Amino acid sequence: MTNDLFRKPTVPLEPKPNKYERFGFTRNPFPAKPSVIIDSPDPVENGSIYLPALRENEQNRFEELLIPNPDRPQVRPIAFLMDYATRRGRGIGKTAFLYHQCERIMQDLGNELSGGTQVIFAAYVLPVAGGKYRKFWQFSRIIVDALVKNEIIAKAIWRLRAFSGVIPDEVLSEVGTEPHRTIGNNQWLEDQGISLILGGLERTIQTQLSGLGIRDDLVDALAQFGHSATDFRRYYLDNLSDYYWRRDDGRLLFDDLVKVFAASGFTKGVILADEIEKIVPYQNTEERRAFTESLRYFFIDGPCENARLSFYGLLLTIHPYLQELLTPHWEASGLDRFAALSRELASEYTVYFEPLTEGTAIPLATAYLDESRISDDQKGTLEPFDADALEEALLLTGRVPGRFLTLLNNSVEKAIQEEWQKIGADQIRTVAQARAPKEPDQNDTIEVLPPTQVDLSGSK
Amino acid sequence: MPPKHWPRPKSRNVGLFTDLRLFSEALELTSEQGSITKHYLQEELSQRVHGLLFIERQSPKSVEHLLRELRGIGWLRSTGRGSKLSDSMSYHLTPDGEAAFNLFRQSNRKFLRLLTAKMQELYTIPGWFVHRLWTINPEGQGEVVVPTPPRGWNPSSRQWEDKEWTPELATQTEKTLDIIQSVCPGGFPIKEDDWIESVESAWNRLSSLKRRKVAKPSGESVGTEKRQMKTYTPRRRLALAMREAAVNFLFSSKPPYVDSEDFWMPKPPLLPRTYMAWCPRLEALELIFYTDVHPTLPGRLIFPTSVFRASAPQHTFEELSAIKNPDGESLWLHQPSWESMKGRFFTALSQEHQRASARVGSLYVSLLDVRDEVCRQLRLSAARFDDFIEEALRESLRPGSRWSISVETDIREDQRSAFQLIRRPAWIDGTPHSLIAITEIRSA
Repeated sequence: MTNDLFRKPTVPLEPKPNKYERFGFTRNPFPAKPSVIIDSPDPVENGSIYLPALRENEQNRFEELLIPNPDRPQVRPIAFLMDYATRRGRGIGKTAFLYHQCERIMQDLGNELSGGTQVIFAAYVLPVAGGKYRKFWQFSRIIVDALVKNEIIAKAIWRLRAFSGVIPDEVLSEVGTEPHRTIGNNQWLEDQGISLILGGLERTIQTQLSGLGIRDDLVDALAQFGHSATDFRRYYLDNLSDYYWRRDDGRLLFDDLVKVFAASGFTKGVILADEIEKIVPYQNTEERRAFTESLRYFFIDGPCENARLSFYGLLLTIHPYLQELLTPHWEASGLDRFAALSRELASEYTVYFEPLTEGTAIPLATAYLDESRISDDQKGTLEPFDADALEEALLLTGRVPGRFLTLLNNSVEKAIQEEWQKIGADQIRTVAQARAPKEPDQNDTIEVLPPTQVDLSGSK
Repeated sequence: MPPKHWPRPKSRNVGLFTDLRLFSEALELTSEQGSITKHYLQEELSQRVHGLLFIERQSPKSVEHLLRELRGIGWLRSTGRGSKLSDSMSYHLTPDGEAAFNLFRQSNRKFLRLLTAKMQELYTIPGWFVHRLWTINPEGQGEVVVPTPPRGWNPSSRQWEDKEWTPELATQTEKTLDIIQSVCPGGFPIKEDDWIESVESAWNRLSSLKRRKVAKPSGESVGTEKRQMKTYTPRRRLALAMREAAVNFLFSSKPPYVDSEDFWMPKPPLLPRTYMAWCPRLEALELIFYTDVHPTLPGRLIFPTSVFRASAPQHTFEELSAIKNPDGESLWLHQPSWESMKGRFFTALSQEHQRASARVGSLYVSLLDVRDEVCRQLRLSAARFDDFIEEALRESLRPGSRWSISVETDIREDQRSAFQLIRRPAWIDGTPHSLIAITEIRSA
């Protein structure tokens, strides 16, 4: 075939020699970007290289505030995650932390964390910038989106199917570790001789959910498509108009879905909302007030299923300046009595994120280095860095993990380019001087204008 | 030795328009038509952009001022007697006007130099203003600041009747002075008590003015009668009061805290109103540079890009021998060649880019902010900067260049309001540009 339109590459690309081999790495061990990209396939970027010891205090606090267990049956309906290192917020590791907590909860549905007393799910919610979430119904919608995307609604339906009595135990024992291929797959169930329609599994679930007072269209959609996140989105969620969401105003999430989750045996849902600064600064005063009023209504004491069961726990990730923006509205809507956002009681509801210390920075760097080592023998060492270099890097980056790791990334690149044998404190300083512009820091000091470089008068 | 004085201005009635291209366009229209009228000129002057504002046509007042100035300079003569302009009067080029227009056709820069000399002859302000800047702050090479209230201070509107000078106003006035005197020492050398007292007095004067009328809001009952203003913004009034106090202090007939007159006349040579027209004019004539949006200074930063000297190196200065100070020294415009300034220009440009970039956190930063500071440090006029940035862009494309420079034309958020709208753009290849990014190319 000679037509270029149908041409395929005929000469394979030669694999490039691994320039990082000199230091015993398969690639640059550190992320090039000082932030976590949740859906990235690369573990260096997606936050899966994680050192729990680094955030032990924060993790304990997170559990205290949001995860019920036998010693602590009562938890907070709303809590906050805030960086303690004011104005160094970005890159401090909040997203990686939330991602990790989500994984921890979801690996056994909160069994270990709750001492076996609860069945918990966690959903990570990330608003995008651009002012699309000024209204509470828009916020509810991204939470529902996250529940669908993370297969939490699907898991609830799988559980309902399992508890329906329609599927025999010997079939349930075959479900295995990939439930979306088995109990979440209609074809598999039919192959096992399970009837889905005409009085079968779907009908049973439909009847059960209808009995809970859930709206009919949702009951039908859940019974028919709820087992598959893709189908539920395609045949139900994507068809809901903005008008529907606006009129619904949170009922879907806070009434109907709570009933579904409760029926499927979930006792708690933890919503981890990242980057609330993508929501609040875009709102006007009335929208902020309405937003906080809705939070109170749906999470605390409104006549809805969620408030009645205290089902969802909400962790809001906020930047210090959001505190300032939200506080008057928070207090006006009476939310401060249930979750103090500011003043003395705030610490009772907040997971504070501390900057890195020398004691935690080295293990963090080692975790990244180990992930890219070619030889196991080198694992656990700091080569080509030394401890002084890492301390210097920590100092230069304001103890912010994201910036710290990016500086190490740049140092590895520079070391290869300049053929350095070692990366010591001097090399780190060289790289830091040439690094990309950093986030602006608040500059309260008054600086004199730089001197002029020419003398017009000719007197000097 | 008796004090030397500047010649008394022949006219103090300067036009309040600031676009000097109007002079050459009026000459061109007159040359084409043989004679023009006020109405014709208003109809035919081309549309233009002023900063980011589109100006479809000139106001009758601006056209009137333009004709009056052209007549005062001696480039146009009117038919009929009397000095009063009338709509029916027609105007013709004088021999001087024809020569000026021919010069414009050869070179815009040469035309501007001639215009500078003519303005000096008629108003005395151009040379005197530069001289005054150097007198106020000789250590700072003439760097002077005309204050406005601090950026963060935006109080809500007050009722028109509520015009009292409050402790808050005094505090803001004092704070403004503190910031300016810390950031730009010598740039506004007033004593604190004098400053607060003069701003208060200007505030009281402005507060006693007859209130302005504004258009009726739509929806009110029919009729063309305008309604009176009910409220005012304290920030704006304080800014006006500060400007009035500062202009009277800096640009009166005596230099600040000096007891000798510059002129044989008691009247101040410059009023707050005419000061506003002169700054852009002198900037366009390349005698000074000014900016209203310096990132750290609350106010207008002005500095000369010219100096009175007995002599100066020809490769970096251009002599305007028609403008002399009372000591007989000529005015020299700082007009360095690209070759002589290249190294320092690249260094200043990249340093200022880095500084702005660290401040706002992005690689692309406001070219105008960078321009302002580079011009301040290198004492370049805005027009010279435009020439140099074009040279720098060309240079950066050459093989082996150390710098990679990128400029963009997007209109930034902060350019859409207030002073930013009329801020002089950076012209590159005939297009206004607003963003710049510079990176140093790593050696291979």
